[in-house]
Amino acid sequence: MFFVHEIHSLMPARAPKYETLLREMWGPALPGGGGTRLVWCVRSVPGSHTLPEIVTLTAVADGPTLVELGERTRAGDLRAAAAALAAERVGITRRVLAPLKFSRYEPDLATLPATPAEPSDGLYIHDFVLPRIGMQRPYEGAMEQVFLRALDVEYSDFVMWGGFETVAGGGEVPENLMITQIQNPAAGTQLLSHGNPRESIKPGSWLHDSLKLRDTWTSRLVRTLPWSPTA
Amino acid sequence: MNPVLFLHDVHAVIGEREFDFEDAVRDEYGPAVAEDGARLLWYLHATHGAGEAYKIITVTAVPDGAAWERLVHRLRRGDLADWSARVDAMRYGSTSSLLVQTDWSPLGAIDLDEVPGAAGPEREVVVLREDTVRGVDLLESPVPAHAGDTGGDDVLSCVAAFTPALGADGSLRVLYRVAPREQWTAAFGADHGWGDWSGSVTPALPEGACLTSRMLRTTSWSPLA
Repeated sequence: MFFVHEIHSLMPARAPKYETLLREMWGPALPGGGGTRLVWCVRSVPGSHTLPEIVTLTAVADGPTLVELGERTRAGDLRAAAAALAAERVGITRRVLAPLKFSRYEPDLATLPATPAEPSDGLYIHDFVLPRIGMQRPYEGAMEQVFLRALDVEYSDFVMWGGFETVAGGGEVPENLMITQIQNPAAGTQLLSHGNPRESIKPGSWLHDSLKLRDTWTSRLVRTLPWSPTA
Repeated sequence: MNPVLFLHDVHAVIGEREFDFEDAVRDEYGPAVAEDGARLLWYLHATHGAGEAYKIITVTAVPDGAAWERLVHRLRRGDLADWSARVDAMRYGSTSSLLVQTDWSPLGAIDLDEVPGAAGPEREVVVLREDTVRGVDLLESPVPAHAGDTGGDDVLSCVAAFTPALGADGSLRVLYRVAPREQWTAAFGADHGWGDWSGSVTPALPEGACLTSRMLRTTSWSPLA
């Protein structure tokens, strides 16, 4: 499975209309003959990287389906909807991603409801992470260990929701997308106001030792749109 | 009257040198610029979890153009050249902007002699938010009615606002102090739709304004909070 990741940059006054087009026109049209679904839709929250913007993940079953999605958008049944969206936004940044080996996010496209039974309400840290030169696979291995250790913890304020990397033809390579769910707002403000103080960053700590693997990332705080199929 | 100038520097620091860089600014740069009447006002670092990692923001107030020219010379060829070379090895690069305050900036006239020239006693770390606003006519931008109103229960209190010292086609920078955690957490957990936290001046800006934000934290020794 691949994921088309899109950052939709919007004008404040047009953002509500854009969201409506995504929900009512683009999302329902995407499945076509199957194998393609809009699966995760979030918007930036105040204090986040850029406001306003929507971030979407579109799941695509395989390579041929990805090519078919392109053909449908360029000259097929999705062309008019794609043009309507393009007319309402400032710009779009598109990546093609594949899951990292430990990522558990793999929605069942055949059974996923078009809209959630309950309104989606998830808060996430969305990180683009650049590995240091030559460190992509060591970084993936280290993140897997972090993920496996987290499974032993009964409750955590931060849960690794998904991990992805760009693939050939899909943007800057190597680059990772790590998505972490914030389980409660107090944990979020605690992280931002008091997290990782200088005295805690010592040899042996993750934040210290992992600097050998990466030290450049961009975080966004995002929240699911209520109609996002998954959260 | 010459307006005070503000050097706004965004430093992309190498993660492993983060604290070396902080020490170099606190122990050397801050006291050195104070010798000539300038003042380091803020030392801010991007919080992990929102924005770009290992970005450090420094804001230095410089009394006037002549003082700015002297500082430039000191950094390039003078007594701060060695310091510049050393901190260059601690960062991937930096972006430096020369700014002035907007007419409505709550910081207002600032007496630099009142700002400590060296790291003072430790103070509580506070969270700030810096917005970079694009798409605004800087010559025509209106005065947000509540800028500087720090009363009430607003999540954001505008601390200062800056525009480029050169030209009128750049970005507006707005610095806010974020309310204490117990007040902020409720807003953080709520869905604001397409809106902003209370206290934001963005709604008062013309339609078409787009934001890029950074969540920042002071260090305990930052001259201003």
